[in-house]
Amino acid sequence: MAAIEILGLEKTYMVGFWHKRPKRALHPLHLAVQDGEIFGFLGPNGAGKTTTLKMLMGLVFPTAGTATILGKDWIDPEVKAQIGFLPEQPYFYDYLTAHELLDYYGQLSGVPGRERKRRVEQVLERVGLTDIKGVQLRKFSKGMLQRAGIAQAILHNPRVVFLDEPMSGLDPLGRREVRDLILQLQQEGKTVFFSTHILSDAEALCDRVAIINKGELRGVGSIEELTKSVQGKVEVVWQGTQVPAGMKSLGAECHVTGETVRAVISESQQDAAIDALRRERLRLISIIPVRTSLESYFVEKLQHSQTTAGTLV
Amino acid sequence: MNARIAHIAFNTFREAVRDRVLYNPIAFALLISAAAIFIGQISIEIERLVVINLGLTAVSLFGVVITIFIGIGLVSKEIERRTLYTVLSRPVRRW
Repeated sequence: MAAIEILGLEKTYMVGFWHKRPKRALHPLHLAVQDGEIFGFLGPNGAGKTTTLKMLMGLVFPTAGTATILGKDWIDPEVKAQIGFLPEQPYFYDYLTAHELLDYYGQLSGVPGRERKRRVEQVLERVGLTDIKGVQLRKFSKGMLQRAGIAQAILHNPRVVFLDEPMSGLDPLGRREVRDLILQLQQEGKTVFFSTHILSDAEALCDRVAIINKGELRGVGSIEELTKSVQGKVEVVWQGTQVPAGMKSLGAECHVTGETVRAVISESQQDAAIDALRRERLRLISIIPVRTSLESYFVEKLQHSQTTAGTLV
Repeated sequence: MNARIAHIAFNTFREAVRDRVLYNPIAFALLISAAAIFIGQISIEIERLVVINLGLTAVSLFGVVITIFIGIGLVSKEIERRTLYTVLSRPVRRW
């Protein structure tokens, strides 16, 4: 069953003061997210990711189109009890403590009293917020607020979780923890829909991704499917000053710096390059992907859309 | 649903109480009530009346001021600070 089904949601804003002109934030979007999936919604800044999420949450009304969540109409309050939402750069009531805040959200979501107290402690621990008893939220750092935001999204044990940029504002360790948390949520059978512009996060987590740019969907599928057409580049570094003939024949541009040589070749030539180095008995120092293949795909799609837009003008 | 309205109301109240800006009008109200006693002393024969009048005026006037100021700030603050998002994405009806 599809957990989330978006059927042609679109949004047009009217901009301008005297002469109102329509500006399309989102072209009709069709998307289905399966139950139990981690779905990544990717796009550069201003692509329409947040608009889509806001529409799904009923915070912004779509110009046209509809959606279903868990098989029901998306603005049905019954559905809302089963979804969790983390807004972009969450900001909460300044004068509450994290416990009070979560208690309040628990009340709104209809979590019964005694259960609520236990849950609050449990989620706070889960997102790594400890030692914050009695501290008001205005004294929280950005990362702590982000964690509190994630806590409120999973507090009422929702079946579908929507996260808007869940990793923003977190340090590397925090990002790692959030990644693990998202994977745990999937293991508990929840569906996770998150937007991001950080591709490595998507690559590490998502079963499927959708790429959106300027309000238009550019591609949907599993990462393997999407990146089959593009291959990334790798940077090969070896010790010495000589460039083996096998390397030259690969058409790689080699740069000698001091005692090392570096060459950038495509991923498919990687094995041939290693063989060439081995034949010459050169010591390989590193092979590093210059760009992950999802990134190559992403960049290609975005550049493509820019050139087509350019020809239209 | 009524329970949810009560929860929201309680939360709003708690926010308002902890937001110390609101203590200003309350302090003013107390000041005027205290002033009533002195003004009452310089009036002839009608001391009680002046104290009662000024006291009641302070209560009603500052009651209105507090209500208006909280009322203005309430929804706009929630929208501006985007705290509304996490409330409206829960099973709460808008009207």
